[in-house]
Amino acid sequence: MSTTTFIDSNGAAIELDAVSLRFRRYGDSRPAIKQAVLNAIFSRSYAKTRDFWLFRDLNLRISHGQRVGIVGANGAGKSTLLKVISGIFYPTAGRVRVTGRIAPLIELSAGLNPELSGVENVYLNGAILGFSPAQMSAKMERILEFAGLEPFARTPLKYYSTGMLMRLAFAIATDVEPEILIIDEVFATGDAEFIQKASGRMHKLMDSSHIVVMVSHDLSLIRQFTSRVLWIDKGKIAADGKADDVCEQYLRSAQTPA
Amino acid sequence: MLERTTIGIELVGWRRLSPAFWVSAIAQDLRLVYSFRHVLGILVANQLKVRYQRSALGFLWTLINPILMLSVLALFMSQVLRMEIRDYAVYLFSGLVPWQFFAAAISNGSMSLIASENLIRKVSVPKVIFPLAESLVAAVNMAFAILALAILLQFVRPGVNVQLALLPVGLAMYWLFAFGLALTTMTLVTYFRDCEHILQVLLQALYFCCPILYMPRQVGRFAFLLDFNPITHFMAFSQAAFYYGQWPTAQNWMIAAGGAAASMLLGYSVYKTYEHDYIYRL
Repeated sequence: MSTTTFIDSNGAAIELDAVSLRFRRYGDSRPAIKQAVLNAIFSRSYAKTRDFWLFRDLNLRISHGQRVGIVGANGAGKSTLLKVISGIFYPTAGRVRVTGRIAPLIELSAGLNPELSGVENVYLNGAILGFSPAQMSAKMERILEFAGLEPFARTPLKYYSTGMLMRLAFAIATDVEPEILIIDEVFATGDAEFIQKASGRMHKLMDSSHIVVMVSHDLSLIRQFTSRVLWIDKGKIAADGKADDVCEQYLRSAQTPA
Repeated sequence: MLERTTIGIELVGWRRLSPAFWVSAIAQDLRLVYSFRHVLGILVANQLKVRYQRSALGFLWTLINPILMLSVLALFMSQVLRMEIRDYAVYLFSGLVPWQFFAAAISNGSMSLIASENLIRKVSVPKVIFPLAESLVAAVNMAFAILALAILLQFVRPGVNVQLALLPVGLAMYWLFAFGLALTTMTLVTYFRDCEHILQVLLQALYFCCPILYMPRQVGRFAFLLDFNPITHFMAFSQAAFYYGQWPTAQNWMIAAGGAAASMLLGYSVYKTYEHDYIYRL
């Protein structure tokens, strides 16, 4: 049961209680009526959907003030865990509790519509993060200036270059002062000057957020920004502890062949 | 501050049979849609904008399109097919505009999740806002078309019927009927992409099963079959207001209200069943 209530609380928190997630893959073929009919007739799975449990009874508690890094091999479930925390995937069983305004920087360009102009996209993206158009109008100038896109504010996004898109997305996503910041491999693409600006803002944002959860393959980045690190391996928390300790453990396991 | 609690397992199973579950589910979804009202507003505004952005006449097409469409059909049906209906354009208008609303709400609503796949996979939004936005867009377009044509058709047949007072009630029930049905067809289309094509054919067939181009009396002894089509009874409200100038019958009221309730009941329970599973099918 998912509830959204507005409460006054002074502590941001993420709690996962016995969360299980069953992932469904429907193979290469599109699920079609033919299969459904055949399934019904033969009362068994004609075209097997390959279900697998990505998480089984996962428990995790992240409290106010923590900076958490997540490391692990590709496909271990790092990004999926972020998606469960941000509410994109709903747990098959268990409970996810998130207190605080959450800004998932999972994929920066997620809320952008190529048919709309820069300005219109700022409103759309802001609305997704919970801001009214009036609130976004107040931020508009600052966002466009930071992204360096004032001359292109009225141009549809489909004519933007990749760098321009990333700059706009980054400028919006980082201007919203979230309490919980979820970062999935976000690195700024752009020229040297923008990267400089972006990393400055990222630092400020991470300082002001109550909780930061970041996924990265860049261990030096993880060590620099986080104090607690989770090592996720095949959907399980293999290690959870001080950043340096867990990074060390993870590196060792990567070097010794299994 | 936003607090979100997500409990997985409790959504399925016997709890679904208790009325308390549905009351809390509806209350919760209303709150959720309210907290996403800005997204909804922007989706509706953008849909209206994107469609006409590049054209010279822009938003005016919302008005010109039904006028041209109506003119062509009225001319063809009355001159070529010799339709013997007085003030044919007025009759055609009173059925065609509501039909176009229905067709748009269903076919765009059905595709709405697939069209917003990018967004749904990357941010947490209540899925219901997508078909909701589509049916609101269709309703706005209908409102504009009714306004423009009702004024224009004053030249064909001047005067206003008192039955116009009932039109908002009729249209509200019609909207609920279309929205509930769109939730159901959206689920079907998202799960079985084949349904998209089947749906288009069914809509075309349904178009001819509604008294839009013709009058029930012209169907002869099969006219009673039209009463089995719930849309006939929704159209009775607009046809009463703009053409017949008679009050909708008790049967019209009962089937319209019952149809709206049944459609919402079906659509909402289908939606609640698959709400968290759609993402795996996109």
